This record gives sequence, C-alpha cells and structure tokens, in this order.
Amino acid sequence: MQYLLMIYDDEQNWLNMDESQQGKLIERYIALEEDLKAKGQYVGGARLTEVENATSVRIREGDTLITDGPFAETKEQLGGYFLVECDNLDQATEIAARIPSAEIGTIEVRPLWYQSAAE
Amino acid sequence: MHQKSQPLEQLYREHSGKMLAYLVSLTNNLSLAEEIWHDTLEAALPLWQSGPPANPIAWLYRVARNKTIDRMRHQKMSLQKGRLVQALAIQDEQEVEPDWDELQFGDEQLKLIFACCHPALDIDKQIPLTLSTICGLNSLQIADALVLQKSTLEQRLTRAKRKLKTAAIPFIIPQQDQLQERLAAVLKTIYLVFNAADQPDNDLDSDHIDLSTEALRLTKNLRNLLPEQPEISGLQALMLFHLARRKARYNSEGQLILLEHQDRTLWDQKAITKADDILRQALSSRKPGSYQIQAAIQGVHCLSKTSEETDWLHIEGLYYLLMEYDANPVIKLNAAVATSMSRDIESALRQIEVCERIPQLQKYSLLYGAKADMYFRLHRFDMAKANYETARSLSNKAVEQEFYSRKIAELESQG
Repeated sequence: MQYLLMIYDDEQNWLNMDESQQGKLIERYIALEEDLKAKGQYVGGARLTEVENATSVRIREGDTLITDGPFAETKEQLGGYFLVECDNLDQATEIAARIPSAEIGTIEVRPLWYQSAAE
Repeated sequence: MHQKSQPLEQLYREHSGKMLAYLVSLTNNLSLAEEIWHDTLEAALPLWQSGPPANPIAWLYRVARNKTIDRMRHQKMSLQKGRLVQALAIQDEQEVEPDWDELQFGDEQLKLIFACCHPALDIDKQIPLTLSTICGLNSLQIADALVLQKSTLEQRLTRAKRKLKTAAIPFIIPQQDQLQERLAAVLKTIYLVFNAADQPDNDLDSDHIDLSTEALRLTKNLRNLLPEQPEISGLQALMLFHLARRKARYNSEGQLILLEHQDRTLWDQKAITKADDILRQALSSRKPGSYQIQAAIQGVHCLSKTSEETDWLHIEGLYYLLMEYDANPVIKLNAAVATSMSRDIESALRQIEVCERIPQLQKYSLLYGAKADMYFRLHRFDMAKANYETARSLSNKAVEQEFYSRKIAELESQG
C-alpha cells in the first residue's frame, strides 16, 4: 500500500524561524527521510516552494483559465509531501506523526487510488 | 442440547460478531466476510426448515469455512492466500473438527472491535459499524435505534466499510504503547452507544433494540477479552449504575424526573450491588481512570438511601479527581453542581461563570438548567426563569424541553 502524506503548515512558521532553527528542522526532515529509506518505506517526497508561487488551472466550457494562487486559500498550505510504502493505515499514521511539521501543522494521510490491501 | 430449539435469527445475533471476526481473520476483508456469512445463512435457511442439524454452530462455521475456501480458489491467489486455502482444506479433509461451541476467537474479535472503533473512522461511522459488525444488528434495527433513516444509515455503513478497505485500516490488536489510547476510543464509542439509548422505558417494545443492553453486552465481552484493563470494568459499573435507576428516571407519562426526586425504591438494588462489586474489584488494581471515577460518583448516588443523605463533598472531590483524567469541560460544570450541594451556592455560581466562558459549554443546555436550579434555591426566581428559558431553547431533546417547560410554568404560577 502506498500512502501520500501531505504536509500542511502555515508558511509564516518557517519565516519566523531564525537560521539555526531552520537548520535544525531541515536536519530532522533529512533524518526522517534517511530512516524511511533504510526501512524501504520511502517512495518519494519533496518540499514545495511558497504558495505565492502557485498557479491554478481549470478548464470551463472549453476555456482554459489560469489564475494566480492556490486551489484554496487557507491558513495552512501544502508545503511538501512524502510518498511511503506501508502495510496499513496505522503504519502510515505512525510515520505521519514523525514528520516535524505535525507538531504545529497537520499531515493528511491518503492512500493512493486503487490498490488492494494486503490480503 | 439447548441450541436445537434456537431459531436461526437468534444464532445470527449471538454468533455474528464471532463469525465475522473469524472470517475477517481468514480474508482480511470485512465486506467479503459479510458476504460469506450471509451466503452461509442463506444456505442454512432451506436446509434447516425440517429441523436444525445436531450442532448448528459447528454447521455454520464449517459451511462458512468451505465457502471461504471456494471464494479464495476463484480469486487470483497470492502465495500467502494459497497457503491459507491449503491449510483450511487439509483441516477439512482430516475432519479435525474443533469444538466450535468452545471457540471464542477472542483475539479475532478484539481485532475487529479495534478496527470498527478506529479513530480514522468518524464516530458517526464507528457506531453503526460496531452495532452491525460486532453486535449483529441489521440495518433496520440500527436505523431505528439511532433514529436515522434506513438509507442514511446504510450509506454510513457503506462508507465506513469502504474506508476500512481503501485506507487499509488494519485488523490488529494495537501494540502495548498504543493500547490505552485505542482502548479509550473503543470505550468512548461503547458509552456513546449506551447514551444513545437514554429514553423513557415505555418506548421499548419487544421489536425495539435496546442500545443500552447492547452496550453492556459489548463491554462484558470486551472485559472477558481484555481482563487486565480496569477501565473496562469501570465502564461496565458506570452503565450498570445508570441502568439501575432507569425505571425511576421517567414517570408514567415519560417525563424526566431528577435524581433528587426519584423514587429510590424503584432502583434495581441487584444491579447496584453488582456494579459496586465490579467497581471495587477494578479499583483494587490501583490503575484509576475516567470511567472508574465516573462509576464511583454514580456509586455514591446509588448507595445513598435518600437524596438528603448524599455525600456531596465526596462527589465534589471525585469530580476534581476526574478532571485529572478527563479533559471534558462538562466535568467542571458537574463539579460546580456538587459544590452548590456540598458547600455554598454563591461560589458554585462563580464556578458556573467560568464554565460559561468555555466555548464547548456556551450552548450546553444543561449548564443553564443547573444555573437556573441554583438561582431557584437562592429564591432569585426571575433569574431562575430566564435560565430555564435559555436551557429550553438550547436543548434538542424533547424530554428535556418538556422538563424545562414544566419548571417555567411552576415559576410563573408562583408569580
């Protein structure tokens, strides 16, 4: 089973940190990634640029509409993700709870489309 | 044997939870397990018309097991599944018949309970799922008991099962470090089931499923499965204390009667003694928790011969202890009520003021009901009336609204 762990956090939190705090946070992320890789659970992951760089695209009545900004304006923005391989939801939520941003933001855990659970 | 006379329906109620637990352990899929179980019952119907087999339970398990083997043979099999089918088939050929009557599938039942009460499922899904899967109730019975449309209920059940499967919520007993938290979630669900049943007794005709009985049965079962957890006993004692007073809680017109005005001779002394025994045993393990303390509070009420004899100071102390184990703000309100009974009303009203600033309590009708009662006892009738009116407007339970209306009418007639 693959789960996408979406990291939602207020971008201001990052901007309000000093350099050493930012450095420590990045170290924690790297450590988590290394651990997941060692356990064979890491499929992918990335950090996104600030939401101000987001562009939304939608097609309505044949017209392509391109707008500046994210799909939804919220206090917490999607800042990055991990794609992980797990046996079940409990394992996935366990990893989600180890993502540093879970301490201030929220991690949304979603299984990828159409996979049969380990039977 | 006594089972000979048991109709299929009764066997279904008694064995559904166990049977599904067994089938989920084979298939790891609740929907598939249900299909197989229903197929089994369908097979039983015509065959049992002329009389059930010698051992109906063994028959049901054997047929269900064979149907599982068939299903799995037809599906593309993983290696693991193939081994399972082989093992089941060998068991079948050797005719090693386990004593199905004795098999409780304890661990399998626990796994299923923990899955149905998984925090990844909304409580609106957990409750119907638990009632359907663990308690063996059908959709009509559940919809009726939860006062939902059958279609709404079925939709929730479908969604719950879909999430179980799609998100791969595991059928496992949580590890020791998570067990307390997960058990708390299970107990919370069961207690909500129990509380959903609070209604006048005369509503309970024979067709109506009594959710409080279901919740109690589930707790008893859980206690057998996890004997080392005193909080389960605490919940069982708490529910028994509540049930013991049920006959006195409503008058013949179905009107709510407050604890202090209840006819205590109507209380079920046998249930009170039993609850007290269970609670004492739980407390002796010295692992206190929210349900044990809540039960202790109800125990003080139940063991008081008259309302005047109630040891309110003891109750107040227990509420303060409870706050250390349970963050529910309603406890603060209850502590204030206890203060108004044990010490003085003025300081209780100051505590109520603090409660009113807690967001979860701002629209809580019982807060204003309690406040109204305190003002009434202080003979400040205008304030009492105003607060009863607020309570009535905030309540969504007919029996409560009716109770507040009576109080308001009483105050008006006094002028």
